[in-house]
Order: sequence, then structure tokens, then C-alpha cells
Amino acid sequence: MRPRNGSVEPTTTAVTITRVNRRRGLFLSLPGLLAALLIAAGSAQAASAPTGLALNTAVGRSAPLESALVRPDPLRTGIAPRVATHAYDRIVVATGVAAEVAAPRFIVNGAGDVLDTSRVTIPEGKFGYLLKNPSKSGVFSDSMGFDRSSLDSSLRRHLVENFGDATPSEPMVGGGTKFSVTGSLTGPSGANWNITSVWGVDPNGLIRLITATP
Amino acid sequence: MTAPETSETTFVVNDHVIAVALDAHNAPRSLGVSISLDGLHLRSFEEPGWRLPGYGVAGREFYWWSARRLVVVPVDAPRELREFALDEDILCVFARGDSWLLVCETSIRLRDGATEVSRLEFPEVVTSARVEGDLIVVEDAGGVLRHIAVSSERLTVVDSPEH
Repeated sequence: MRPRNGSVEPTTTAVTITRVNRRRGLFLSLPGLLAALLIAAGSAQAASAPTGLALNTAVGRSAPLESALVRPDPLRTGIAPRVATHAYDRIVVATGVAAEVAAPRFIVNGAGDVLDTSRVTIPEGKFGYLLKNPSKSGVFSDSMGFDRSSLDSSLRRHLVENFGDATPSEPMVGGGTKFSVTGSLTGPSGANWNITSVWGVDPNGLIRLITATP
Repeated sequence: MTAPETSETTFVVNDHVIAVALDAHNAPRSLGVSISLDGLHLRSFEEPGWRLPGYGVAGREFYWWSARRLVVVPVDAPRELREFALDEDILCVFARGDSWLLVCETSIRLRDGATEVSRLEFPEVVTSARVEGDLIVVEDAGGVLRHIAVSSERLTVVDSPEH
């Protein structure tokens, strides 16, 4: 998996990270990814508290979430790798977390890249750049009708929605990598453009917007 | 991009007159660019309209670029236009011998004809570029200056960033 997130550090939880190569970066093991997804769902407390929260497994059995997280071999829970996100979704429903809050922290694309949405940031200066710079404002401000707030949420959503087709990461001068995603974006005015947003993954793990362009 | 809906600019390059007519009726969606040389229409282009074209002269060649295309116009016969398309906005173009150095919004690329020879990816958008001796100096939106050496084969950052 390529490094889209710098926040997944080796911890005492079931998260396991192994460096495979420069191109692919960090590899989040399947048990580790599952555990990370569960933690992201706000289940960290559930794992240590007697909430009775249960994890539905692929074989139709229910196992206490705590045991799923701490047992020596999480794979023996019968949870298939492809079920990770599915299982996570069920937990979201079970905990009653509102959909707005329950946006998954980790997004996995078909290439196996993992995006940690909690590390996504848009520097304040980017809003002025996209909304006021003469070569940008014609699209993002005049045509699409964005303001700072609507552009912020739209670009974050654009990243998540199009992460499945993200470009391969390229090394940046000074360290870190960058990738881009491309997809349709509709502004508050109703105008629709095909937009490419470019993101840098800094050495500290932040996923930082570099620019967006038609 | 803010521009009059139609405009025409005249350049004189080695006693040759080049006229560039712009039609910005559909900006920022698109920009019509029409090129004439010594009174003869050469070709019209439909370009991205969110960035105004740039222009340059190298030897006996006039060149211009839109957001996504570099077009080279030899002023002498046979006057066959050459063009290169990019997937990133072009900010500035320098001729380096037979190669072209394209400073883009977040990268710098060295092209030899249709082949990209080398590329550096920057962590921030570029705001300006200039030549100092044998080096290209690129400044980004964070105020970081990078000096880049250009050979026929590769681009190399020759010093650490400075503010």
C-alpha cells in the first residue's frame, strides 16, 4: 500500500506496519487495517468498556468486539479482508453515530492504498490562491461560486470520492510524496467542472492540498 | 482569468510579424487562439481558458503556451508548428538548446521534443521562475527559492531551499 497516511504508527494494538518498497511505502496488514478501522469507528472505548457491542463476522456469527481486537490471531475471527469496510459500516450503524460524523477515517482504494482522512489538511492560504488568484478565480469563484467554507468541504469530499482512482505517488523535492485525484465537482452555482486536486503527503504524515485545477 | 472578449497582440521576431488573436467569449471554459505569420493565418487553437497565454522567443523561433500546451512557431520556412501537450498548468517556458524547460504549477519538466527527459515535483505551487547563469531559480508560494541545474539529461536541485 502506498503511503497516504502518516498517522498509522506501530502501537500495541493490532496495527502492524511493514515497509515493502519506496513506491508502495507502508503496508498496513489486514489484521492491522481491520483493527485500525474499528478504532476509527470510535470503537476504542468499546473495546475496553462493557458496551456489549458485537462485531458481525463473515460467517454469520457474532463475537464480542473486545475479543476481536485483542485475540492473538484476529484473522481467526473469520473476517475476510474484503469485509473490513463492510464490518466497519455495521459498527457505525450499531453505535448510532450520525452519518455526517461517521465518514470512514480510512479509505482503501483498489490498488491497496490507504487514505487516512484524519490527516487531510487544506492550508489557509490555498483558499485565497484558488478563490482570488486570476488564473484560478475564474473557475472556482466566478464559475463555480465557491466561498472558503464550501470549497473546503467540497475539496475534502472530492478527495474521498475520487481516491479510488488516485494517481501513483511521486516523490517531491525535499521529501514526501504527492498524488492527485480527478473527478467531477459541482459548485454552489451549479456549474460542473472536471477537477484535479493535487495532494502532498509530507514526511510528518499530513496529507496537504497543494492545488486544484480544471 | 480576466481578459477582453477579443484581442490581438502583434510581435515582431527577426523582422517577421506574428499576430496572436484571442477569443475569450467562452472563458474560463475555453480560449480561442489564432496565429498569423506575416499576414498568413497559420492555425487556430481551442485552449483552456482559465489562464492567459504566455509568449517567448528563442533564436528564430517564436513560441507561446496556454495552460496545457506549448506551441513553437519557426519564423523561417518551412514554418511547421510543433506542439506539446501537458497535464498540468504551464507557468513559464524557457528554451535550453534543443530542449524545452517547462515550469508548471507544481513541477518543472525538461522535454526534448515529445519526450519528457526529467521532472521535479515540488511540494508547493510555483509563483515565479527565472534564469540565473546556468541555473533556473524557482520560487514557490511559501517563499522558498530553489536553484535547479539543467543538463541535457536531467534536472537537479543544487542547493537547499532558502527563504
